[in-house]
Amino acid sequence: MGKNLTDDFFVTELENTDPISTGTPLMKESRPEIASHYFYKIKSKAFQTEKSIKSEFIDWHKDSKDLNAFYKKLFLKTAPQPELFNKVNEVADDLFKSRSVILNENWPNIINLQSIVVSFNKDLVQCECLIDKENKIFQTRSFPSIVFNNITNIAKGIPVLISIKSKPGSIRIDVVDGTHFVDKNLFDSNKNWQRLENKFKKASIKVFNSQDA
Amino acid sequence: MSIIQAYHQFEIRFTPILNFHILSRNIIAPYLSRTSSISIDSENLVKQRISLIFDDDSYTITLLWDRILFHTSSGITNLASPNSVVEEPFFSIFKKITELSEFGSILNCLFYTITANLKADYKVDDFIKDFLREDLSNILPCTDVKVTLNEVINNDTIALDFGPYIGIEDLNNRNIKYDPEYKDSLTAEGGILVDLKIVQALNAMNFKIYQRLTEKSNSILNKIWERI
Repeated sequence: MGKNLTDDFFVTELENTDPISTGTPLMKESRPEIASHYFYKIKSKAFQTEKSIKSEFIDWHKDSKDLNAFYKKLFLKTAPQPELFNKVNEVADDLFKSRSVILNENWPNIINLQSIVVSFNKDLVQCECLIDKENKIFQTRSFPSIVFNNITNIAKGIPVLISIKSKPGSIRIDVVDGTHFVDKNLFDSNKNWQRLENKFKKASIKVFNSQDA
Repeated sequence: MSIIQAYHQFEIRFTPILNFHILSRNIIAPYLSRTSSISIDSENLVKQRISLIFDDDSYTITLLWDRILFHTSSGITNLASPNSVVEEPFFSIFKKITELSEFGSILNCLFYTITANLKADYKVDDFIKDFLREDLSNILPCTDVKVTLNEVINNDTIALDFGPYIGIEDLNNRNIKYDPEYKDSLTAEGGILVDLKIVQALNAMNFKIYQRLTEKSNSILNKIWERI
């Protein structure tokens, strides 16, 4: 097979009711693997010249008898057809349906976490986050490393402010340098507490073991 | 029935700082990278007013020589939760102000909300039936009515005004810049509008006190909603 049809052009997403999109017997017989591939790959774009598209069809179509009819059906009428670009193919699986642009997006839930980077690799960055300042509750959370790409010289121990905005169906994470926003003293006191906790645990194990003996 | 917080303002008042218009620059500078815009009134004057606008008008923090304000019309629901935008950055900025050597003392705080409980079929007559006497029209056949309750204990004040919600004019008359997202809901008449102000005298301020004021406000509002 020559070059991929969909690499060269995009046409409209066809409606399910359009006989082409459901697959005419001609398409299914001649190129069954193309039929399903073709219709799901098609998106809307600037209209290509009819001639160039037609030649692609000739290459691909084994049986070119109904090419004109097929081509005509595909584009419905003469080009350009603005309504073609507005049609949406309601496929059964619309998981990846594109989202419209939202200006001045409203986020009913916003939290700003003071955090310190604990560890990082190429995929994830782990941060110790201050979940509750009043009750001194800390939590280690992992975030995709890409949201930290704006932080210059990321290293263990650097402070960051993580802003998490959420609403039903959406979440947004913003990360900024926390040098002026993070109170590192709070994290120092947590470190001291953790050290004390570990010492206590070790001491408890010693006592337990000696009792056992 | 839907409850919309059309406007919320939280204000901490302190003894005036004469040179705050100079000192505030160092406090505010790091936050400019997080704001979507800033506005300055009476620049370099003693009563300079700087407003930091965050998240495309989602909320605003305003600083003056004798107070710091947080205000929002965007319907953020978790203001009293840990790590909310009230705790960070509002209280963080306030903490930096209290750390100034020129800082005097905290005087009081104001907790102010305007909340609409929208209910299409709830009109003036329903309000009179639920909260007043039905023969009120014998005094004057009224097209609008309002209930005002005040509680004053020492220097603490709670001022509560509520009445039937007659439409968007109720908010426009109060110069409330409501979130355009709620415009369709707020346009229709029906329901109750509550204007609640709590002023509390105190000499220390932290996020916990803000949470307590939120609880108090919610408790008062729920007592009103229970009646309709």
